[in-house]
Amino acid sequence: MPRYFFSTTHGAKRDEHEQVMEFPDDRAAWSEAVECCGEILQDIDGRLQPNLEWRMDVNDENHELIYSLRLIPEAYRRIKPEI
Amino acid sequence: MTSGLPSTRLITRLRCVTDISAAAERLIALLPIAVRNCAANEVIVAQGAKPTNCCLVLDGFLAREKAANTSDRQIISFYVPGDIPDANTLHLPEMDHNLIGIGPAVVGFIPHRSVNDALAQSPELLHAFWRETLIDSALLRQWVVNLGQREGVARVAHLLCELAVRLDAVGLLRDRLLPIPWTQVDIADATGMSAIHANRVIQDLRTRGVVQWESRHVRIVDWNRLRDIAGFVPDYLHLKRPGALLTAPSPVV
Repeated sequence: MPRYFFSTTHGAKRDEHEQVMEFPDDRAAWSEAVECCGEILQDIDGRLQPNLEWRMDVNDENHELIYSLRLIPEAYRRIKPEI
Repeated sequence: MTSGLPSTRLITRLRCVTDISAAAERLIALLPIAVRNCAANEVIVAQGAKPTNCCLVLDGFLAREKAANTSDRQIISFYVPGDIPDANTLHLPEMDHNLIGIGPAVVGFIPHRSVNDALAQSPELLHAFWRETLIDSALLRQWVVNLGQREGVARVAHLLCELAVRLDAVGLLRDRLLPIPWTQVDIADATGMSAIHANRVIQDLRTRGVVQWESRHVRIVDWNRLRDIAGFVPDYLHLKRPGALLTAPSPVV
Protein backbone atom coordinates (compact mmCIF):
# COMPACT_ATOMS: atom_id res chain seq x y z
CA MET A 1 0.00 0.00 0.00
CA PRO A 2 1.28 3.52 -0.74
CA ARG A 3 2.57 5.63 2.12
CA TYR A 4 1.24 9.08 2.95
CA PHE A 5 2.88 11.80 5.02
CA PHE A 6 0.73 13.97 7.29
CA SER A 7 2.00 17.17 8.86
CA THR A 8 0.40 20.10 10.65
CA THR A 9 1.38 23.76 10.81
CA HIS A 10 0.05 26.45 13.13
CA GLY A 11 1.21 29.90 12.09
CA ALA A 12 4.93 29.58 11.44
CA LYS A 13 5.23 26.54 13.70
CA ARG A 14 5.35 23.25 11.87
CA ASP A 15 4.76 20.11 13.90
CA GLU A 16 8.16 18.47 14.23
CA HIS A 17 6.79 14.97 13.78
CA GLU A 18 5.47 14.01 10.40
CA GLN A 19 3.08 11.06 10.61
CA VAL A 20 3.58 8.31 8.05
CA MET A 21 0.84 5.81 7.31
CA GLU A 22 -0.15 3.44 4.57
CA PHE A 23 -3.53 3.72 2.88
CA PRO A 24 -5.00 1.88 -0.09
CA ASP A 25 -5.51 5.08 -2.09
CA ASP A 26 -5.76 8.89 -2.02
CA ARG A 27 -9.41 8.76 -1.08
CA ALA A 28 -8.67 6.75 2.09
CA ALA A 29 -5.84 9.16 2.99
CA TRP A 30 -8.23 12.09 2.52
CA SER A 31 -10.84 10.51 4.73
CA GLU A 32 -8.24 9.91 7.47
CA ALA A 33 -6.94 13.49 7.17
CA VAL A 34 -10.43 14.98 7.60
CA GLU A 35 -11.19 12.76 10.60
CA CYS A 36 -7.83 13.54 12.17
CA CYS A 37 -8.20 17.32 11.63
CA GLY A 38 -11.53 17.24 13.42
CA GLU A 39 -10.02 15.42 16.39
CA ILE A 40 -6.96 17.65 16.62
CA LEU A 41 -9.08 20.80 16.50
CA GLN A 42 -11.27 19.35 19.23
CA ASP A 43 -8.17 18.92 21.39
CA ILE A 44 -6.65 22.31 20.57
CA ASP A 45 -9.75 24.26 21.63
CA GLY A 46 -8.57 27.44 23.43
CA ARG A 47 -4.99 27.03 22.30
CA LEU A 48 -5.85 27.82 18.69
CA GLN A 49 -4.51 31.32 18.08
CA PRO A 50 -6.73 33.76 16.23
CA ASN A 51 -5.31 35.17 13.00
CA LEU A 52 -2.86 32.30 12.64
CA GLU A 53 -3.61 29.72 10.00
CA TRP A 54 -3.83 26.09 11.09
CA ARG A 55 -3.15 23.60 8.32
CA MET A 56 -2.73 19.91 7.67
CA ASP A 57 -0.77 18.87 4.61
CA VAL A 58 -0.82 15.42 3.10
CA ASN A 59 2.07 14.42 0.87
CA ASP A 60 2.46 11.26 -1.16
CA GLU A 61 5.52 8.99 -1.28
CA ASN A 62 7.21 11.32 -3.76
CA HIS A 63 6.72 14.20 -1.32
CA GLU A 64 4.25 15.75 -3.68
CA LEU A 65 1.56 17.75 -1.85
CA ILE A 66 -1.80 16.17 -2.58
CA TYR A 67 -4.10 17.71 0.04
CA SER A 68 -4.09 20.75 2.25
CA LEU A 69 -6.80 21.30 4.85
CA ARG A 70 -6.71 24.86 6.13
CA LEU A 71 -8.47 26.63 8.96
CA ILE A 72 -8.13 30.40 8.99
CA PRO A 73 -9.39 31.74 12.33
CA GLU A 74 -10.10 35.47 12.25
CA ALA A 75 -10.76 37.71 15.26
CA TYR A 76 -12.66 40.97 14.69
CA ARG A 77 -13.19 42.06 18.26
CA ARG A 78 -10.08 44.22 18.53
CA ILE A 79 -10.41 45.82 15.12
CA LYS A 80 -11.75 49.36 15.52
CA PRO A 81 -14.49 50.32 13.13
CA GLU A 82 -13.19 52.77 10.51
CA ILE A 83 -16.17 55.10 10.70
CA MET B 1 3.59 -19.27 31.70
CA THR B 2 5.47 -18.29 34.80
CA SER B 3 3.23 -19.18 37.69
CA GLY B 4 2.59 -22.92 37.56
CA LEU B 5 -1.02 -24.06 37.59
CA PRO B 6 -3.49 -22.10 35.45
CA SER B 7 -5.74 -21.60 38.47
CA THR B 8 -2.91 -19.65 40.15
CA ARG B 9 -3.60 -16.79 37.75
CA LEU B 10 -7.19 -16.50 38.96
CA ILE B 11 -6.22 -16.85 42.61
CA THR B 12 -3.58 -14.12 42.21
CA ARG B 13 -6.14 -11.79 40.66
CA LEU B 14 -8.81 -12.46 43.32
CA ARG B 15 -6.24 -11.83 46.07
CA CYS B 16 -5.77 -8.30 44.67
CA VAL B 17 -9.41 -7.40 45.08
CA THR B 18 -10.80 -9.65 47.84
CA ASP B 19 -9.78 -11.27 51.11
CA ILE B 20 -10.18 -14.74 49.72
CA SER B 21 -9.80 -17.70 52.12
CA ALA B 22 -7.66 -20.80 51.66
CA ALA B 23 -10.86 -22.87 51.36
CA ALA B 24 -12.09 -20.78 48.41
CA GLU B 25 -8.66 -20.95 46.81
CA ARG B 26 -8.78 -24.75 47.05
CA LEU B 27 -12.10 -24.75 45.19
CA ILE B 28 -10.53 -22.66 42.43
CA ALA B 29 -7.55 -25.00 42.24
CA LEU B 30 -9.98 -27.90 41.61
CA LEU B 31 -11.62 -26.22 38.59
CA PRO B 32 -10.98 -28.09 35.34
CA ILE B 33 -9.17 -25.67 33.03
CA ALA B 34 -8.49 -26.54 29.38
CA VAL B 35 -5.50 -24.50 28.22
CA ARG B 36 -5.30 -23.33 24.61
CA ASN B 37 -2.89 -21.15 22.67
CA CYS B 38 -4.71 -18.48 20.69
CA ALA B 39 -3.30 -16.74 17.63
CA ALA B 40 -2.85 -12.99 17.41
CA ASN B 41 -6.12 -11.22 16.58
CA GLU B 42 -8.06 -14.46 16.89
CA VAL B 43 -11.72 -14.04 17.76
CA ILE B 44 -11.79 -16.22 20.85
CA VAL B 45 -15.50 -15.78 21.60
CA ALA B 46 -17.60 -14.26 18.83
CA GLN B 47 -20.59 -11.94 19.10
CA GLY B 48 -23.72 -14.08 18.91
CA ALA B 49 -22.01 -17.18 20.35
CA LYS B 50 -23.52 -19.01 23.31
CA PRO B 51 -20.42 -20.31 25.06
CA THR B 52 -20.50 -23.09 27.64
CA ASN B 53 -17.10 -22.12 29.06
CA CYS B 54 -15.61 -19.04 30.70
CA CYS B 55 -12.25 -17.73 29.50
CA LEU B 56 -9.47 -17.14 31.99
CA VAL B 57 -6.59 -15.09 30.58
CA LEU B 58 -3.38 -16.98 31.41
CA ASP B 59 -0.84 -15.17 29.28
CA GLY B 60 -1.06 -12.28 26.85
CA PHE B 61 -3.86 -9.79 26.45
CA LEU B 62 -7.46 -9.99 25.34
CA ALA B 63 -9.84 -7.21 24.37
CA ARG B 64 -13.54 -6.76 24.01
CA GLU B 65 -14.48 -5.19 20.73
CA LYS B 66 -17.74 -4.17 19.18
CA ALA B 67 -18.38 -3.22 15.57
CA ALA B 68 -19.66 0.34 15.21
CA ASN B 69 -20.61 -0.16 11.56
CA THR B 70 -19.31 -2.32 8.74
CA SER B 71 -15.78 -0.95 8.85
CA ASP B 72 -15.22 0.61 12.31
CA ARG B 73 -14.78 -1.08 15.63
CA GLN B 74 -14.43 0.13 19.18
CA ILE B 75 -12.21 -1.67 21.66
CA ILE B 76 -14.21 -1.49 24.87
CA SER B 77 -11.72 -2.91 27.35
CA PHE B 78 -8.47 -4.82 27.70
CA TYR B 79 -7.94 -7.90 29.85
CA VAL B 80 -4.76 -9.04 31.52
CA PRO B 81 -3.76 -12.44 32.99
CA GLY B 82 -6.05 -13.50 35.83
CA ASP B 83 -9.10 -11.78 34.35
CA ILE B 84 -12.26 -13.63 33.24
CA PRO B 85 -13.53 -11.30 30.53
CA ASP B 86 -16.64 -13.28 29.68
CA ALA B 87 -17.92 -14.03 33.18
CA ASN B 88 -21.08 -12.33 31.92
CA THR B 89 -21.90 -15.48 29.92
CA LEU B 90 -22.59 -17.32 33.19
CA HIS B 91 -25.86 -15.37 33.30
CA LEU B 92 -26.22 -13.73 29.87
CA PRO B 93 -25.88 -16.68 27.50
CA GLU B 94 -25.38 -14.82 24.23
CA MET B 95 -22.23 -12.78 23.63
CA ASP B 96 -23.09 -9.21 22.56
CA HIS B 97 -19.48 -8.39 21.55
CA ASN B 98 -16.33 -10.15 20.38
CA LEU B 99 -13.53 -11.27 22.65
CA ILE B 100 -10.24 -11.15 20.74
CA GLY B 101 -6.54 -11.67 21.36
CA ILE B 102 -4.25 -8.64 21.17
CA GLY B 103 -1.20 -10.57 20.03
CA PRO B 104 -0.87 -14.29 20.81
CA ALA B 105 -2.47 -15.34 24.08
CA VAL B 106 -2.86 -18.38 26.30
CA VAL B 107 -6.41 -18.84 27.51
CA GLY B 108 -7.90 -21.29 29.99
CA PHE B 109 -11.44 -22.49 29.33
CA ILE B 110 -13.48 -23.41 32.41
CA PRO B 111 -16.88 -25.07 31.91
CA HIS B 112 -19.77 -22.94 33.16
CA ARG B 113 -21.07 -25.97 35.02
CA SER B 114 -17.85 -26.27 37.03
CA VAL B 115 -17.78 -22.55 37.83
CA ASN B 116 -21.44 -22.62 38.90
CA ASP B 117 -20.84 -25.71 41.08
CA ALA B 118 -17.92 -23.97 42.82
CA LEU B 119 -19.97 -20.79 43.31
CA ALA B 120 -22.86 -22.82 44.74
CA GLN B 121 -20.51 -24.42 47.25
CA SER B 122 -18.92 -21.18 48.39
CA PRO B 123 -20.85 -17.96 49.00
CA GLU B 124 -17.46 -16.35 49.51
CA LEU B 125 -16.38 -17.26 45.99
CA LEU B 126 -19.75 -16.09 44.67
CA HIS B 127 -19.16 -12.70 46.31
CA ALA B 128 -15.63 -12.56 44.88
CA PHE B 129 -16.99 -13.13 41.36
CA TRP B 130 -19.73 -10.60 41.95
CA ARG B 131 -17.11 -8.09 43.07
CA GLU B 132 -15.08 -8.81 39.94
CA THR B 133 -18.02 -8.11 37.66
CA LEU B 134 -18.79 -4.89 39.55
CA ILE B 135 -15.18 -3.79 39.11
CA ASP B 136 -15.48 -4.58 35.40
CA SER B 137 -18.45 -2.23 35.18
CA ALA B 138 -16.52 0.43 37.15
CA LEU B 139 -13.81 0.16 34.50
CA LEU B 140 -16.37 0.67 31.76
CA ARG B 141 -17.67 3.80 33.53
CA GLN B 142 -14.14 5.14 33.61
CA TRP B 143 -13.72 4.37 29.90
CA VAL B 144 -16.87 6.35 29.11
CA VAL B 145 -15.38 9.36 30.91
CA ASN B 146 -12.05 8.81 29.16
CA LEU B 147 -13.60 8.65 25.70
CA GLY B 148 -16.07 11.45 26.26
CA GLN B 149 -14.13 14.05 28.22
CA ARG B 150 -10.36 13.67 27.93
CA GLU B 151 -8.30 15.07 25.12
CA GLY B 152 -6.22 12.73 22.97
CA VAL B 153 -2.97 12.70 24.91
CA ALA B 154 -4.74 12.26 28.25
CA ARG B 155 -6.84 9.44 26.81
CA VAL B 156 -3.81 7.42 25.76
CA ALA B 157 -1.95 8.28 28.99
CA HIS B 158 -4.95 7.09 31.02
CA LEU B 159 -5.06 3.80 29.15
CA LEU B 160 -1.35 3.25 29.87
CA CYS B 161 -1.78 4.11 33.56
CA GLU B 162 -4.69 1.73 33.93
CA LEU B 163 -2.96 -1.20 32.28
CA ALA B 164 0.28 -0.59 34.19
CA VAL B 165 -1.55 -0.65 37.53
CA ARG B 166 -3.58 -3.73 36.61
CA LEU B 167 -0.50 -5.63 35.45
CA ASP B 168 1.44 -4.51 38.51
CA ALA B 169 -1.30 -5.77 40.83
CA VAL B 170 -0.96 -9.31 39.45
CA GLY B 171 2.85 -9.15 39.48
CA LEU B 172 3.34 -8.82 35.71
CA LEU B 173 4.77 -5.31 35.38
CA ARG B 174 8.52 -5.69 35.19
CA ASP B 175 10.79 -2.66 34.81
CA ARG B 176 7.69 -0.58 34.12
CA LEU B 177 7.36 -2.30 30.76
CA LEU B 178 3.92 -2.93 29.29
CA PRO B 179 4.54 -5.99 27.10
CA ILE B 180 1.38 -5.45 25.09
CA PRO B 181 1.84 -6.31 21.41
CA TRP B 182 -0.73 -3.76 20.30
CA THR B 183 -0.57 -1.77 17.12
CA GLN B 184 -1.22 1.95 16.90
CA VAL B 185 -4.51 1.04 15.24
CA ASP B 186 -5.46 -0.90 18.39
CA ILE B 187 -4.67 2.20 20.48
CA ALA B 188 -6.73 4.32 18.09
CA ASP B 189 -9.66 1.89 18.31
CA ALA B 190 -9.48 1.84 22.12
CA THR B 191 -9.33 5.61 22.47
CA GLY B 192 -11.80 6.58 19.74
CA MET B 193 -9.18 8.33 17.61
CA SER B 194 -8.09 8.16 14.01
CA ALA B 195 -4.83 6.25 13.51
CA ILE B 196 -2.96 9.41 12.54
CA HIS B 197 -4.10 11.21 15.66
CA ALA B 198 -3.16 8.24 17.87
CA ASN B 199 0.21 8.20 16.14
CA ARG B 200 0.72 11.92 16.92
CA VAL B 201 -0.27 11.46 20.55
CA ILE B 202 2.16 8.57 20.99
CA GLN B 203 4.94 10.68 19.48
CA ASP B 204 3.99 13.52 21.81
CA LEU B 205 4.29 11.28 24.89
CA ARG B 206 7.59 9.99 23.55
CA THR B 207 8.97 13.48 22.88
CA ARG B 208 8.02 14.64 26.35
CA GLY B 209 10.16 11.78 27.71
CA VAL B 210 7.21 10.18 29.51
CA VAL B 211 7.32 6.81 27.72
CA GLN B 212 9.55 4.83 25.41
CA TRP B 213 7.41 3.30 22.71
CA GLU B 214 9.25 0.77 20.63
CA SER B 215 8.23 -2.22 18.55
CA ARG B 216 4.81 -2.42 20.17
CA HIS B 217 6.14 -2.36 23.72
CA VAL B 218 5.77 0.62 26.01
CA ARG B 219 8.11 1.43 28.86
CA ILE B 220 6.96 4.03 31.37
CA VAL B 221 9.86 6.40 31.95
CA ASP B 222 8.15 9.02 34.10
CA TRP B 223 5.24 7.49 36.01
CA ASN B 224 4.30 10.63 37.96
CA ARG B 225 4.18 12.75 34.83
CA LEU B 226 2.16 10.13 32.96
CA ARG B 227 -0.28 10.07 35.86
CA ASP B 228 -0.57 13.86 35.82
CA ILE B 229 -1.15 14.00 32.06
CA ALA B 230 -3.84 11.34 32.37
CA GLY B 231 -5.48 12.76 35.49
CA PHE B 232 -5.36 9.15 36.63
CA VAL B 233 -7.02 8.29 39.95
CA PRO B 234 -6.95 4.50 40.52
CA ASP B 235 -9.93 4.36 42.91
CA TYR B 236 -12.18 2.77 40.26
CA LEU B 237 -9.92 -0.31 40.09
CA HIS B 238 -10.90 -1.10 43.71
CA LEU B 239 -7.61 -2.82 44.45
CA LYS B 240 -7.24 -3.99 48.02
CA ARG B 241 -3.62 -4.87 47.36
CA PRO B 242 -2.11 -2.73 44.61
CA GLY B 243 1.41 -3.34 43.34
CA ALA B 244 4.58 -1.33 43.91
CA LEU B 245 3.72 1.28 41.29
CA LEU B 246 1.05 2.75 43.57
CA THR B 247 2.60 1.94 46.93
CA ALA B 248 6.37 2.47 46.51
CA PRO B 249 8.02 5.87 46.22
CA SER B 250 9.23 6.78 42.73
CA PRO B 251 12.84 5.86 42.00
CA VAL B 252 15.19 8.79 41.60
CA VAL B 253 16.10 9.05 37.93
